[in-house]
Amino acid sequence: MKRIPLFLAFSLLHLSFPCVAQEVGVREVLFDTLRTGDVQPTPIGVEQMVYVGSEYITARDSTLMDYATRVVQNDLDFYADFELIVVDTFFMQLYEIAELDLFGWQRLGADYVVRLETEIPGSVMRVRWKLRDANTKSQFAGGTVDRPKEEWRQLGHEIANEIVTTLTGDPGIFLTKLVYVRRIGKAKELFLSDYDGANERQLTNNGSLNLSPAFTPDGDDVYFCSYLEGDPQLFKVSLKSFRTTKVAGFPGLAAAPAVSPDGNKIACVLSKDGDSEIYVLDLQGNVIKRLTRHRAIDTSPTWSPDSRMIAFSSDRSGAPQIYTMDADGLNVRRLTYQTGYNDSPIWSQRGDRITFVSRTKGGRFDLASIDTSGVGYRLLTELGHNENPHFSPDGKHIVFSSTRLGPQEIFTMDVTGRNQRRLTRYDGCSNPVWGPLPR
Amino acid sequence: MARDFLYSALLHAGVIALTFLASPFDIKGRDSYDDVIHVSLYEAPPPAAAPVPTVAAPQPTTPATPPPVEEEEPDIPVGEPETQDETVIEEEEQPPVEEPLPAPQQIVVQQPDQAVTSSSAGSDDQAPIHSTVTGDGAVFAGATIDNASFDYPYWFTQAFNKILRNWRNPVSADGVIVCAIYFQVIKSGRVIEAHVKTSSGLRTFDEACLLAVQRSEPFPPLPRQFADEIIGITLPFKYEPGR
Repeated sequence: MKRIPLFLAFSLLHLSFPCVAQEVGVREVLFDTLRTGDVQPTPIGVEQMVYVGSEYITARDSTLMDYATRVVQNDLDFYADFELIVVDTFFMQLYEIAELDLFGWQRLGADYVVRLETEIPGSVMRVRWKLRDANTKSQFAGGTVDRPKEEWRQLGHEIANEIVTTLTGDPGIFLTKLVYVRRIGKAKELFLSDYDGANERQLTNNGSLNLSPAFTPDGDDVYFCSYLEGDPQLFKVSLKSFRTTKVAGFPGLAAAPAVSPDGNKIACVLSKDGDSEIYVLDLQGNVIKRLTRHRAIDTSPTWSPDSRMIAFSSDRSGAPQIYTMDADGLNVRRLTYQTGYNDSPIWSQRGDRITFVSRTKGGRFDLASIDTSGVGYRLLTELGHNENPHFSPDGKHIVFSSTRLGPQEIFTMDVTGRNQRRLTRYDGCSNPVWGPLPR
Repeated sequence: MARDFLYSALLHAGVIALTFLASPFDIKGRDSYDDVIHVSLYEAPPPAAAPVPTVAAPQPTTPATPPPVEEEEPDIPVGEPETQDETVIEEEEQPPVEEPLPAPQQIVVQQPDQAVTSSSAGSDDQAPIHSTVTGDGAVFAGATIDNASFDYPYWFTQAFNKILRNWRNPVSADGVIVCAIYFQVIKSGRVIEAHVKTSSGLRTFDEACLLAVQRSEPFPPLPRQFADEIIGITLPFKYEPGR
């Protein structure tokens, strides 16, 4: 009697094999994400700035022209869509380029060439930029930027912004700001800098631990969490007056603030009801709603660009993984199943990807990204510990902290993982966040 | 014991025979394959004359001089399918086509010698686009523009590269699939109109192509020297197996 069920089980096992697919010409695939990496950056050349005024200029003015040129070159080289053609005497000789005109640039591989002409009437630097096509040998765009001489850096950023907008239609990010945490002795203080690490300025100086900065969408304030009064509580610092004020105090911790893109709410982690849960506060620090109810630790909230969803990390499955939910706390869905540890999610400004920290082989922490539908997991880094990712406002670049060179420093890269570069030169830099586009 | 083996072998043989010959236990049933579209390709696509480059981006080291495209093509009757060089895609249910002019069967593989010909071209005065991303073998080969006076190759290169970055191809097929999207761009680079002009016959492919155009907004602003306020572009998205 026992054999019959055994035979039936074997038979059913055979039947459960899928039948051979026949005459299938077209199959749907989940995502052909590799295609997005097919497009190579556009090669672009930037000529040295030339003086076209009628008066003599000082050596200092000449130096400023060099500096401003270098800013434009660095900006365009940084941008994900472009690749800066470096003028190399070796290749100039190899290709027998006597003069660096448009033909010469074409031989060097440039598609477009930026020409910068400057006049320096008084204390103002006036630069005319011209964008020319090396293939058709024609000028197709141009403009003029005026700035005081001492703002040569902003002048270069502004020119690069206009070039990027002309060529891509997207706003340039070169006048945006970064805020990050830097260790000073035993304290951790907030610092403000340009997107490329220049013009660093200390924001807090209270000798305590100041962590998790978060910009408001207008770029006027930065919310952060500080241990100034013992337990971690919410504070904010104004980027206009540089004054720090306390936002909210709750029993237990108040940490990891994230201001919604519509600028009305703050998602943040509170432990006032026991374990750490995610709450939504108004900008004055009053609780609007509790979003998560679970015995596990829920932390690191991040908003979708339309402010309708929140991604967060939770160890409710036993190890930290990324989850998404509606902004009212419903429809909780697990997003990541890859590796046993995924933390610190950040939602792309373009809305299509979520980048997070993933523990990979050997216990290293790497940055990875995944589509918001849960497919297309892709590792972005492969050296040292890489943590605290944050997107640029155009969604094309990521700023993060890394220990690949030994000390923990701030790095940036394209969303594809290419073009990684170091911004800081100090140990103990972490938690970088990228500010919004200036209004 | 030996009898057990005999019974087992007989039963296995019987089940296998039933599975492959009669298929009476097709548990899932054909209609339950939601993720598979049944089409049959009657004929393999003709082999390309030149090796197809895998990257459609402009090559920096080569001058961007797309091969001259023959303007007059009186020999090719537009709209009449050529039986020899065509890949005809048929489906059990034809999806709705935005414009009734060309039937899905008339979407043809891009021929090496008729780069600007699509089944819908020629119905109005459309000019071919000369750019590094629309030459022979490129994904967007055969793109046309309403306004022939718009002659800014850089704009097409940048705009089409942006579309290419945002294009997530949702199908994998054994033959060539072409879907033409028509879209209009105004001075600021905003898209005011985008629709499927010639359907590929596969709704997911059409939607992905349309989405690629919509996600690429804003495009580079139209050059100041250009007098008109608006341009209309017909952009064929071409899928080739193995690319």
